Amino acid sequence: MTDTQLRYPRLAVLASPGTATSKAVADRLQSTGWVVKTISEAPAPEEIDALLAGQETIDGLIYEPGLLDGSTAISAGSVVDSMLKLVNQLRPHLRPRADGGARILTISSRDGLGWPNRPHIAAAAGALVAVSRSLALQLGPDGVTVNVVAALPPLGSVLRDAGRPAGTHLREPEPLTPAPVTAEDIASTSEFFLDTRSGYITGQVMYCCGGASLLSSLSV
Amino acid sequence: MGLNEKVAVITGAASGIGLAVAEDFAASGAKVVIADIAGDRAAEAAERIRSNGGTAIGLAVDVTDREGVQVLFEQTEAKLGPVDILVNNAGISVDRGVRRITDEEWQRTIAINQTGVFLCSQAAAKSMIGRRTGRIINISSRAWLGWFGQLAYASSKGGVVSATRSLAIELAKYGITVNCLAPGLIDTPLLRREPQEVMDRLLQAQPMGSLGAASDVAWAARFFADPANHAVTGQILYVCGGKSLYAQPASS
Repeated sequence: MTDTQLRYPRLAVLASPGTATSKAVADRLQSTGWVVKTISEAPAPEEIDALLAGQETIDGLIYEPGLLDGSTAISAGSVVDSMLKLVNQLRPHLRPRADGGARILTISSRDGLGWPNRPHIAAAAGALVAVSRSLALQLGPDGVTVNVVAALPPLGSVLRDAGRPAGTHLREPEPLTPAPVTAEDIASTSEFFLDTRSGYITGQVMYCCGGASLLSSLSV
Repeated sequence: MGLNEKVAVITGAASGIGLAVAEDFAASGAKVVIADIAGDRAAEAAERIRSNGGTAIGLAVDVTDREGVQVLFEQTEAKLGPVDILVNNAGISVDRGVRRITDEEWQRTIAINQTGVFLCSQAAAKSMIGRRTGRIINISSRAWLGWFGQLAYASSKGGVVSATRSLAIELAKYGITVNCLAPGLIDTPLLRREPQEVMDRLLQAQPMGSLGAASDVAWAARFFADPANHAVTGQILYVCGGKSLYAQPASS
């Protein structure tokens, strides 16, 4: 999306524990002209204040709680609370509808379809879809879109080497397509949703998994 | 997101969403084939693209006719090269409830909207498999979820969703991605002919409260068409302003 229509430097706020995925997203956005400010996935009020000091308007908010990179302290309640708090804090600063609106993106995991040895991540991933769809309905009239990229843990993630879940015959999901899914693939999909031209797309879940999610009934 | 020199066949591209996709792809560097049952309008649209500096040809095709589809792909290859991108957009809509729809209307809707996707995808896949790359993008509709008076249309578009997923699974190992766009309320001349009270009701049933543009769909198609986007396949992306999330069933 290198031909994005840049009328002004666009500001993205990236809330993340600092994963490889979030780094790829930041790199991708910066390479296409975005200004990216990173904060923790559950920022303290002072962190938000510092972020907003001197800032005018936020074009994109990316919530990436680390579901794809093996973060251990994940729970559905904590990610939902963090995301809602973040959105509520930043909502007054999102670009208004008359000026093109703003984009909120959650980076979640295809584990939300269910996975035997990661029930907490699965629950968190599923909860993020539900909260994002709800926020899409809530913020739609303001011209704010809310979407989800639900990805396969990318190449390099510790989850790729998690091995066969104990007590099952299942193997870690693999892409059906020839190449592995990388953090850069997730970043590319994220950039699509953040683009101003994606303003009529909201409440969607895009699986970036090389087709690994297709045989789940929840993936349609 | 460039489509430089990629050969894209877009069916039903003489007007509306198909034309917007063709114009967008051409502006991104693709060589486009505007395939439409109205061959003269396809030729005119291609001429307009060429006059703007793009590469385009217009070809007449009936997507329900196997031989005609075969000729379309042969002519495409002869004039522009083997197809890299197929956009299955040709379709019709019959607004008729279960009590009034005729056999002919049902069969025609399924033939164009569903069988057309099968025939064109089969022809494209045979070309793409050998080259281990390709992009197929199917245009379904939010209506596949079900809507008043759209039994045939919704059923046919549901078939497109299912075809997308089956094709994606089957063709993934060849590096071919298959994705689907499900537009909602898109601002077209046909929609603009609706009475104001109908438009008001449609917009009230719409979470974002606005119509989309054909260019919104074209933009999403370009994402799926991008050769770099190899990790996204089998997806059904609604371009509908949130209507797929919840729509007030205000009319019946």
